[in-house]
Parts: sequence; C-alpha cells; structure tokens
Amino acid sequence: MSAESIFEALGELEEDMVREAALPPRHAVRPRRLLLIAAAALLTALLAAAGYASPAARRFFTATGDEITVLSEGDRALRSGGEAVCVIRDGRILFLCDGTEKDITEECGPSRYFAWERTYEDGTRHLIAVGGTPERMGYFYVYLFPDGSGAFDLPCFYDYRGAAWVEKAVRDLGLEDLGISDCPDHGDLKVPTAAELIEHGYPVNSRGETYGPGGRYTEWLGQPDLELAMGKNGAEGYIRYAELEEASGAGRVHSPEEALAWNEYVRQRGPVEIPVYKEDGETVVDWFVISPGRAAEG
Amino acid sequence: MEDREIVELYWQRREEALGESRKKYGGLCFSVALSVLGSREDAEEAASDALLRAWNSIPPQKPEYLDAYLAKLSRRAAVDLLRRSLAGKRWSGEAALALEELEECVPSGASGPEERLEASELAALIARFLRAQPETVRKVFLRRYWYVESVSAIAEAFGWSESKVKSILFRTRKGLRRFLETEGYL
Repeated sequence: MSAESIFEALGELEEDMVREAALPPRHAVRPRRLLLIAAAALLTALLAAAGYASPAARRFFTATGDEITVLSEGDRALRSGGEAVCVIRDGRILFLCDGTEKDITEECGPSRYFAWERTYEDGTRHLIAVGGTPERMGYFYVYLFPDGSGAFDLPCFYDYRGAAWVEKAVRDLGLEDLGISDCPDHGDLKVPTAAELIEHGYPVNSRGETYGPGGRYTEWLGQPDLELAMGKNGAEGYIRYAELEEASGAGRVHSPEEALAWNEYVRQRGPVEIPVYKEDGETVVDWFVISPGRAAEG
Repeated sequence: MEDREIVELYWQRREEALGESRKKYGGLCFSVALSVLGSREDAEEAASDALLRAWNSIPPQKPEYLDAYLAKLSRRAAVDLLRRSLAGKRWSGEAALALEELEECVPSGASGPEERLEASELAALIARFLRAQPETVRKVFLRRYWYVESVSAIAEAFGWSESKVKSILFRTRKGLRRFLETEGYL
C-alpha cells in the first residue's frame, strides 16, 4: 500500500460521499475567527508586565481573574494567572467563579451541564459550561466578542470530548459555529485523563519527566516538565517547560525595566521555535512558535 | 437539462448526451482534473477522456448523481494520465503536497506486494472509516484528498483558521492509519 494507492482508492468512493464533500458547509455564511487558547503563562506575564500589546491584540480578564491576551487571527490566546474555573474536592465538583465555591455536582452529568455567563463592560461575553462526573469532569470556556468573533479554551475540553453534555451545551448556548465539537482527539499521543491525574498525578516518561495538560491542573499538581501544547502545523504534543522558560526569558527579568529591555530584545530577535515532543520527551512532532507579537509591525 | 434526462440520452445512445454533459459539467471535470495534473492542457485531455468513459459506461451504469459520477471519471482519467505518460509526468503542486500528506496514512510495513489491494477493496475500507467520522471531518478530508483543494481554500470555505483545518487533517490521517492497521495492514 502506498500514498498513491490510497489517493487512487479515494477516487472509487461512492458518489454520495463525493457529492456531500462538494456541498457548501452549513455554517460558512458568516465566517468567525477562531482563536486557540494555549497556556503560556510565563510569557504572557512578561508581555503584560512590559505593557506589551499589539494594536491588533485584545487583553481582558476572565471571570477567574486570568488575564487573556488574544493575538491576531491565526495566533493563540495567551493566558496568565492560575485561578481554576472549578475543582474536584471530596468527590464533589465545585465551581469557583464569582468568588465563591458552588457545589454543582448535581447539575453536571454525562448528559447534563452547568452553565455560567457574564457580559463585561466592553461587551465581551464569557460563557463557561461544566459537565460530566467528578471522575470525568470537563469544561469549556468561551469568549464571545462584540464584533462577532469568538475564542474558546481548548485544553479544558479535552477531558470529555464528544460527550453528550458537550453536544447539548453547544446546541443550547448557540455555539455551533465555533466548532467546539469538532475538536479532535489526541490520536496516538498519550494524554492522562482527569481521573488519572486526580488518582495518580502526572505520569512520568522514561526520561523521568512528568507530562500532562498543565493548565488548571497546575493548581493541584504543580507544573509538569512537559506540558500539552499544539505546534504551528496543528500537531499536538508536549513542550518542555524548561525550554519555554529559556526562550521566554524566565529568571532573567526581575524588574519592569528588565522586562522592557527583554521585550525589546525579543522583538528584535523575532519569533523562536521550540520543539513539540511526544510524551517520551524525545520524538519531535512539531514546533511551537514563541512570537514577540505584532507590535513591531505596527 | 436535468441530470436524469442527460442519463437517458446516454441510455438512448444519443450523442447529445456528451454535449449536454460538457455544457453542464465540463467545468467540474476540468477543475477536478486540473487539481490533480496541474496543467491546463493535460486537464482538458483528462476531462475529454472522462466524457468518453461516461459514454462507454452508461449504460449499464445509471448514476444517481451525474455530477459526482463525472467528477470521479475525470479524477480517474487524470491519475491514469499521470501513470501512462511517456514524458514521465509527476505529481506536482497541490496534488504532490496532498500525496505527501497521505504518506502518513500508510500503515507501517504495508509496502510489500503482498499487501497490494484492489482499489475497490481499499476504497471500501476507507469509505467505512470516513462514514464513521463526523460529517465536517469527512468533508474536510475529501476536499483535501479527493478534490485536492488547498488548506487555505478549505479554511475559507468553512470560515476557519488554517491551523484548525491542518489539525483536523492531521488527526484524520492518523485515524485512518490506525484503522487500516486494525484491519490487518501492518
């Protein structure tokens, strides 16, 4: 079997499938800009400290106090801050926004979800949907901007992709256009589930490195050595946190002045790339771009 | 003219069938062939060949979707043109990129002659895999590897970022490979 034989075999598919593919997508009338959100807390903190924001970027705060910098279309939204949306404690799902701990366990389930919404002064609408069970809880966080574009927090969703509650929440909240349900699975990449993390903590590879999704789990488990990320070519894997720190200047900046100087250095240096690995911490599957942002172009 | 009327012309062996097909679907046949061949001259040859194949296959065929049927014939003609060309035509442009991406779908070890499958057998397997995918994923995959559309064109059609399209394609290719391996092509 070869790539050519697969290409040729595709030509023998039934006509209904061929025809279906050529039909216009159902939700393509009004394109929405979809911005992926990846946790790059340290870099964002540096950018924020340096007051670094491109004219095309948006900065705002989430319900949990996270600061989000959404770069231009096609780039990633960076989040700083470590407040979790919810936590599992004593077998209960507790929602942490609004400054309180609300037990939402009974409102969640395999086909039930808890929804929270707030509209901020700038017109940005924040939606959070939490569903599942304490053993397999997941959530997604959606930011809807006044201009009609949207962004969603992808890592939170990986714990329960394809679940009935997700489909229901997407339908009920009118989020079909964002394509949340289209988020792919991890393929052959090893990613620990929420239940595994809660039970065993981060898994360890043969190099002795911990690996996992990071994000909200850092509150419970600390920072993994290898954190789940998506590379510039769409491949999912892990970036080594030490390499991210090195590239983003962690440990070198101790004052706002140093942050500005580092910021200028980064801007002149341009984007750098660090490897995206499989869980073994050795096999490179893609590259993660650390961009200085668009301010230099402005 | 309605498709069923055109098909009826074929069945009646009336040559107007070819003219009506060319008028209605000549552009489609040409664009499908062009995406594979990259050359207008070759694409025109393949599109004409497709109509000839239609004439020779209808009857006994009675396609329900004439547009898709002709598109298939055109794609097949384009691939055959690549194969038999004495000038050693090679895959180029978007088709070459698509082919390179499809390398990821080939199960490990499935390169010997003993693993050779009839195209129809492999097509049936791939169809089974694709039908199990969400409609959107299926459409994106076929737009890339059947119609050989560029990633940017697909992204624009769906109103998505290119990274999302690439991500969907990447995972579907991996999924197809796993599926083929599960079916025994290791």
